[in-house]
Amino acid sequence: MASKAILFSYTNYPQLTANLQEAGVKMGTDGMLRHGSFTFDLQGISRAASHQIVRHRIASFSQQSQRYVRVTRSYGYLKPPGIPEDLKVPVEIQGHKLELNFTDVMDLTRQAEEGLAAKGIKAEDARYLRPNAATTNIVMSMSPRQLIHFFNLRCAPDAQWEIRDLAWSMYAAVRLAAPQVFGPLPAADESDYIKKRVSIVDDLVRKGQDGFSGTPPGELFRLELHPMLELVHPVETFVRHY
Amino acid sequence: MRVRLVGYEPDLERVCAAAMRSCYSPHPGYELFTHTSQDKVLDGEKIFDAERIGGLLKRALELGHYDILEHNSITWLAEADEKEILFLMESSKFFETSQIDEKRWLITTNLRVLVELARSANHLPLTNELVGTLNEAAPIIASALAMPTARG
Repeated sequence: MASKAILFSYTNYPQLTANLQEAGVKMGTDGMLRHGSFTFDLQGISRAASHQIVRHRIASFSQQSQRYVRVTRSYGYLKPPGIPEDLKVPVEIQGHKLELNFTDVMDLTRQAEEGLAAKGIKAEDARYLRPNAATTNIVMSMSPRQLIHFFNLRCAPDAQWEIRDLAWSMYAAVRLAAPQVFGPLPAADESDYIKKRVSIVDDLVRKGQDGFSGTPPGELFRLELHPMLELVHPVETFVRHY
Repeated sequence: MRVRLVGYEPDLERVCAAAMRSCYSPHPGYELFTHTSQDKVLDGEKIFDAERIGGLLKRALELGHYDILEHNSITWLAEADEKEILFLMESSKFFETSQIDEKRWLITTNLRVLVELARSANHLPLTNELVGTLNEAAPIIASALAMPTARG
């Protein structure tokens, strides 16, 4: 199942700048970077990725609880594409030798967590079995200035593949939603990889502009990134149109 | 008027309520945010109408679960002196300020900071003026802050 990055709330810069102009104040790009907020709903991302995301400051996060959301209702997992489906590894459990692939291990941990819960163990304890691959949902808000810092670090070629895919998806979303605030990434000056991909995002955003403008207010526009912008795993990218 | 509200995100209280509920629901934040009619069924979830949003936000205020009120930004053009601005900047990492001219400042923060300032014993008249502009952007929070609380 694909992860999703939905930009569903963000500062309405045309409105903000118009209100300031009425008061005789002109807002430059630096002002726009400081005075605003962008809120994403990141769905179906791994706990490995969310652990990296919540390291960023200054930002706000509301993440799905593993205590209150019962395991049987929402537990998915994300398999790294770098691990072949048919790759098996030998394990030994109580004298029994087994050959397990990634999916088998996920199934085992899920069964064990459900089994503990069925025996009356509290969810807050049973969840200790949950692997980093387990998916989660998180609502995240950042100012434009912080987002640029996040993109500079996480769009880099040496960033981990899942958060890098998310960062590029989020970058494309904010470019579409607020072109007056977000331009090429500063890191593009030092990286041909980033420079090339920023240029691809430019093209994709330009192509998406008409569809976005024509999206009814309050509805989501889906920004198609694949296959132009190569991602390691699918991230469906959406922007709410005001 | 010393304080003029110039920017905020649309539906910001609905965003905060959806963020709050997303912590305890198998359904993600945006699905909750748009669960506004019976046409869309979300297992185990009530319709996300004004009553539901109000209930969640009031619960957050009661519990002191202010984090969920951070998912927004509100911007004012304000006449203030440097002491007042310094007070605001010292009160929270979430304040952004830009000086426009000798007297005027652009101030941005979020609902969480406003709630905490409004509920603290030590605040400036400027805080009340900022909170006083919330009726349009955040009517539920504005109404809750206008009511007497246990902390006075």
